[in-house]
Amino acid sequence: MTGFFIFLQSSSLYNLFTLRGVSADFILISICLTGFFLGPVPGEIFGFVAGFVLDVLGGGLLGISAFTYTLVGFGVGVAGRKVYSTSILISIVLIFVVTLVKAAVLGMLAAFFLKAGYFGYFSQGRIFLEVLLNCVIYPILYFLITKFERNISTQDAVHFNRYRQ
Amino acid sequence: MSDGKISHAKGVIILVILLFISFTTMGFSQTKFTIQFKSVLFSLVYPFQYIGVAPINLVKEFFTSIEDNRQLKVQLSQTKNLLQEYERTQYEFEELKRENERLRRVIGIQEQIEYDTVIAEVVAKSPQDFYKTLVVNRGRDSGVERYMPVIAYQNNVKCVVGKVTDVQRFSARIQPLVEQSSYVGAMLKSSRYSGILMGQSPLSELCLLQYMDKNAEMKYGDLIVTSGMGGVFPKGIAIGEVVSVSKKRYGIFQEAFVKPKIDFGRLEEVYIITKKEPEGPAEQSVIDGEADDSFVRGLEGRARAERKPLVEE
Repeated sequence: MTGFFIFLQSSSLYNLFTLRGVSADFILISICLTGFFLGPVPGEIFGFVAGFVLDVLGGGLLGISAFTYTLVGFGVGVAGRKVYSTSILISIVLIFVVTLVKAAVLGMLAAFFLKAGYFGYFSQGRIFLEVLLNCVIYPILYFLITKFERNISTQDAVHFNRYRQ
Repeated sequence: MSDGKISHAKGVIILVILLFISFTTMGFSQTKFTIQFKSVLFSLVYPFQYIGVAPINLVKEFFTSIEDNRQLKVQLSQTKNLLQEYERTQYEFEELKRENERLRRVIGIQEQIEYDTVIAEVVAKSPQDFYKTLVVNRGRDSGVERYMPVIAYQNNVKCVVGKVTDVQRFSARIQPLVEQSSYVGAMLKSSRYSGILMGQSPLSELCLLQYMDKNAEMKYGDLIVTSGMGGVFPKGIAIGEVVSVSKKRYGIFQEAFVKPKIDFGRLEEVYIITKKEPEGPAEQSVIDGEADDSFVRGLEGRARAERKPLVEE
């Protein structure tokens, strides 16, 4: 799914999911879902790989996205173990916080390594549009996955839940 | 240590390792090794990206092509309407261009004419068959007076039209030279023999050239011009061409039928030559049977004196 979202964000179809030039971060959403449902280790590994691939394809500072998404994947994995719930509200709060944390971490790293004024992302209000879009899309996918989790067979559930520990 | 704690510790260790790798990579991102490494990685990852993105782009293009098709139809319809409008505009432009050229020609011709003229537009023709006149849109206010000669240009040739017979303030009536009561002093251009040209309408659209000296060699196609006698028409203006000659065995004159150069059906503008009343022998139009044409009478008298039985040759 993460690979699909990477391709999606690379394609011109991605322009359909933009709002005033800002788009939802599908990679972040997929990392959150991975970490939340499978645990912190899969979350951080997937986060690292996805972030690294993004850095390679994106051409920016190599490692910046890997660092950020690794942190996010681990954090969501830990939070998911503690507050595992099918509540939509929980998922909205989660993605809200995660999006802001991601933006903050990226901003600090960019400021430190690139001396870049990344904080313009905050001052222009673009971050809030991204938060809004993530809060709309994440619950939908969260809901679909929880439905999927309930419908799989017991054997698959055991296999599935093994990663959640 | 419980499994949960071991798993948690494992996660933390992995986290630290991954963060360390990322942080180090960031720190050395500007080194040559890192740049080359990134370049190699990109070349490895790019084919997968291309293969993964292509189907998604294909789906997107499919849906956008539907919308593009609809928009193209709308644009086509708009373009067709625009094209029709342009064709109308082009047609109007061509018309205006022709009108402009024609008027320029008229103005240019007026400048070339050595006389003082007033340009007038033919606005009406007499509906009667037996007495033809032309009505123009210039009158007394433009300096037009009775008996003023009228000429026109057709096919770049200056030709006689007729004379002004009636003048109002803003209009005038012209008697064409084909009218039966019209007399014009004429001569053969080649030999300079002179005679009198008389209209024959409505009997014929041809004019009759009378009192032409019998010694004058006339043949079909010879050009007849104004002689200037009588002082009404300037000398040398084309009248028409000879179509047939009638030479009698006896008598001193011969006659010829002349086809006027002017096509009255295509006449749009005329030039009224503004001159004084003729001083010499008059060649005035016969109106309502009254004539004051001493020159013509002189020729008729001479003909009567030497008249012999006429035999058509």
